[in-house]
Amino acid sequence: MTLRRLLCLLRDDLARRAVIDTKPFNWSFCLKAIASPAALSVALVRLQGFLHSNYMPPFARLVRAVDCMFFNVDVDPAAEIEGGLVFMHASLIAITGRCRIGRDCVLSTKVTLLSRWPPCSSDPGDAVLTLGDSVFVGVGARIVGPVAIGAHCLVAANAAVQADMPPESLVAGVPARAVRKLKPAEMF
Amino acid sequence: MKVSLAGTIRSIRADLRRRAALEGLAPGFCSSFFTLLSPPGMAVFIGRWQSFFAHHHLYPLAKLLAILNVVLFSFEMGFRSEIDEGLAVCTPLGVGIHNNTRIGKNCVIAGQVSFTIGPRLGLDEMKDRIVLEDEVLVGPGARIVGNVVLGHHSLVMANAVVTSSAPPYSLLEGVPARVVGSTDVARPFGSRPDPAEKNT
Repeated sequence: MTLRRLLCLLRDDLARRAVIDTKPFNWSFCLKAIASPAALSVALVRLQGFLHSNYMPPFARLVRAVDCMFFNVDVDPAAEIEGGLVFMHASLIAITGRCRIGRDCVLSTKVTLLSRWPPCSSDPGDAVLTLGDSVFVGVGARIVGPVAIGAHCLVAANAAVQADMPPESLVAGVPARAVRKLKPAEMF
Repeated sequence: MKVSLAGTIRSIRADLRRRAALEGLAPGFCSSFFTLLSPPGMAVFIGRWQSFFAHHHLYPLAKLLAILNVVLFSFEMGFRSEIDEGLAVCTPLGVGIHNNTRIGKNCVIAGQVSFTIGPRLGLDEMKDRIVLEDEVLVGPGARIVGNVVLGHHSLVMANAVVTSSAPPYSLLEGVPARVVGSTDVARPFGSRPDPAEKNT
């Protein structure tokens, strides 16, 4: 990840947040947003991704610890996260193991993405958890195991997702299943 | 349970080895050191010293470490809880362990797990106990409430609310949690279940 790419990602995150807050995306909004814990924790996630990919993993670990201590956001530095990530509130968000998150995803609080559950002792490297583009993950939802969530899915509050989900579906329940297709107006 | 200095150090070494295995690192000094620096390793490390100080009647120190753990990692561990060696957490955020909890060897706890005994619903906070036997895996967001014994090699899936005891090798799922299968299929982390033992 180059410095230019880092700045692009930061800009995308803030632009996405402006869309969600229904505010114009300008310098004033950026300054106000970066002073809020939610946007600042996303910025720290980007910084640790940048440090991790530029052969500075100890510093990435340090940034991860800071993010964890200040904002309760525990993100693995090796997670591959596309632009436009938004945390609704920065609190108790954990992204651990190998995760790949698409563009414009929104994570609420108390969300856990865990790429290996149950933890198998054999071939740990293969398991990848994939979130498609524009997935909304509701409060308290847990996505566990090497599953793929399709694009534009809406994961409802407290859902425990353990299987692959088709795109554009409403995912709810413990354990979760695709309840129905989303209408175009409901899509995020 | 006796918590000696040697026992604490042995537990910490076992925890770090277990945590390194969870991250897919080879066991060794280097991987142990690096897992200690990550939030999950550090939270359990502080928790061990907290129960060590509490068992030696150094309560101010134990309390201080308990507060430190909550402030830094949101990891709240009652210092009278009895935790055997080899505990690994996937992420320490939002984990709460009640004082009357007993956790066996080599358990894995994912994030935001609560072990609670509330004063309501006929539970007695002083007498009731939560017991996890060896090699139990507790998934993210699971709640284990009240007077419960989970058998060894049990697996609790994400967001389950466990309110009743379960036999060994059970796979628990749902709200409230029911036994939906056996962990032989799900292949738990660590040692494979012994088929001879399962038949009895």
